Amino acid sequence: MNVQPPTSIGDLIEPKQADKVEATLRADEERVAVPRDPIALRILIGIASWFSSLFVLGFLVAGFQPDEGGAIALGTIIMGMMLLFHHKVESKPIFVEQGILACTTAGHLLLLFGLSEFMDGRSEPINYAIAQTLLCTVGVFAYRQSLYRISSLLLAVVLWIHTALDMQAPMLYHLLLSLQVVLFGSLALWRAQSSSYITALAISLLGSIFYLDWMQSSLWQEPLKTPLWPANLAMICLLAATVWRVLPFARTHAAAYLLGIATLALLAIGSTPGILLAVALILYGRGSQDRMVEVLGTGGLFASVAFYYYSLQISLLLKSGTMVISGLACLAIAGYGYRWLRHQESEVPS
Amino acid sequence: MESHLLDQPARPQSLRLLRDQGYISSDAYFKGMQALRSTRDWAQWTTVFSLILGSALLLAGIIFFFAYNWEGLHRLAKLGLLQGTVLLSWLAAIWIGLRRLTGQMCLLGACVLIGVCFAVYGQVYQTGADAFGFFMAWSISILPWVVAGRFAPLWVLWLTLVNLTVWLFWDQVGQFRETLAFPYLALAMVGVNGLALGLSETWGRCRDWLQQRWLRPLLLLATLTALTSPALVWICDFNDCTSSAYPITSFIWVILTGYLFVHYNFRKFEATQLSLILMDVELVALFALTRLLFEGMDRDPTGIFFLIALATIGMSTGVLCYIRKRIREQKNHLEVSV
Repeated sequence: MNVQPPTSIGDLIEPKQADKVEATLRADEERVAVPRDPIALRILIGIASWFSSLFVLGFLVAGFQPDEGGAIALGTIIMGMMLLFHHKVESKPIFVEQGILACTTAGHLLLLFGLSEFMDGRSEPINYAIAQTLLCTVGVFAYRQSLYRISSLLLAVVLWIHTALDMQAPMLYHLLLSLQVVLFGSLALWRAQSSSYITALAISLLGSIFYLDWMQSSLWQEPLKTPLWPANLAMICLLAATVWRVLPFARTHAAAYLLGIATLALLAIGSTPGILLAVALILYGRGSQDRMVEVLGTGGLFASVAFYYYSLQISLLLKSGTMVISGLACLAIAGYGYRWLRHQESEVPS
Repeated sequence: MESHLLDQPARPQSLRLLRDQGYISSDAYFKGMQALRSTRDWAQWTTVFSLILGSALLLAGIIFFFAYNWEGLHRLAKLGLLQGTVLLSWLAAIWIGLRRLTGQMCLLGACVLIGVCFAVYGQVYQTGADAFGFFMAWSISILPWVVAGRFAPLWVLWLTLVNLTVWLFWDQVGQFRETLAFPYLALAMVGVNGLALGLSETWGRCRDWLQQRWLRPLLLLATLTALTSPALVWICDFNDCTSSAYPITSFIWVILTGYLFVHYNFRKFEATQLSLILMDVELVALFALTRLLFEGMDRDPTGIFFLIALATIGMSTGVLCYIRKRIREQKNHLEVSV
């Protein structure tokens, strides 16, 4: 087995950027000396902040009891004040930072409510979706922090997806899903954007798929009938691009790669897009060592597989047969993998 | 390029940082990442992942097969087939060896199938037994394999079964007796999970298979959930919870949470566990404050919402600052000792 020397950072950068890169790495080395907060703490602090935003919203609604005009005015004032804080106050203590997040979210929701009510006096999903798109467009330019931009964008996506499914407009849904796939593919695989954007896009894609699954299932009062092939096609394209970009052997074994993708495309016709998406996320997360995306993909895979078998319109006996065959196929892959690894080990010179 | 920093092998963190700052192209980023994961790494990961997914699918398939309750299959054939599968899994585990993941997965499969055996037995003979009896029989019968397996997920499965047994016993038998109020169920679950946590902290320290990072926080979370729920119920429903068990369990909550705080803060510092404990205290304090405000402010929601929002942000900020301070102190302490 050939052992390649490790790739150094110097091999990957443009020589003219060496000084800047070195300064960045040096600053990072100093920053790394301060340990990060435990993940449990970060999650709980995040939850506390969103939770308190609901109380702030409750306070505003109970205290002012605004109509649509009042909601627009109050929401605009609060968001404007928070934006001023953001841009003008450089160093903020944690309490203020948390408070700003809570107030921004509360102001945003109030403004969203006011705008959607103002449109034609009826709270329809499409009004919320249009209002959120307007707010999101402003937010992308006004907000400095990626957290605000991402949450604003995610809310717009969720509202549009809900609108498409509520209007029984499957093609609008598939168009939105394909747009998200293109956005994920271009940002994650070709622009290599920062992890927070990729994580948010992964959550939004998984959410869109699970929302469709839920609305198509018998759990919903009037199950939707939406063809799945456009979504499957979009996911196969995403998976093919991920494999091509992330796996080191995809380009060297191009024939095997094409064959694998073609087989998967055939298998995926009757499948659910969630499985393909989850596999793409796992591969991306694993390949770019992005633990969050990998965990999201793994959770998504198990949930999609469970949901796929739950919603299969066949008898339990046939379901069990399908599961046993799929399980044996996975175990056969594992068995082949063990053999291959043992073979590789025996080739290493002692 | 003379600098030693640039000659260092690329690490995922530094590649991500340079990508976020826009200093490397996406091609260079993926090239660097691909160099960090060899084909062998990918093969190893695919093998383990397929093993876990395949085992889960196979077990689910077997469960679905028996849930179908095929009339054409004689009851003896059903039970015989299942017991044969259990035996096969167990033999495979012994043959492969319990120190290897494949062997441990086979043993886990055998333990799950034992439960299916009991379920099919109940289905065939219509025993009419309570559900807690089923989980109790299952957990007792797999205990020897769980002990022999030395596999943390197997212990988690066993603990889940014991918790289910306790919960269902209370649900189907206990709650109809006045002496068995909800806090006693919670205390029993605290006993089970707390014992497991205590054992993993003392006896498990020198056992490799109990060193998974997720295990102790999970056990602590289970213990704290059971411990806190009666206190929260008592705070919310103060006037209706007349049983003396509520103040007793709330007192136990104070004592145990205090002990856990001292243990994970001063004796053996663990930031994750400390975060969970402090957040638990924050939750109880918020519930108590809400209750007091509702009583004291004549149920006026405006002021209550505002104060609760402030309190939530204030307490979570306090917890964050305290844990950061302790992490820094701990780091300095370690550096001085080295």
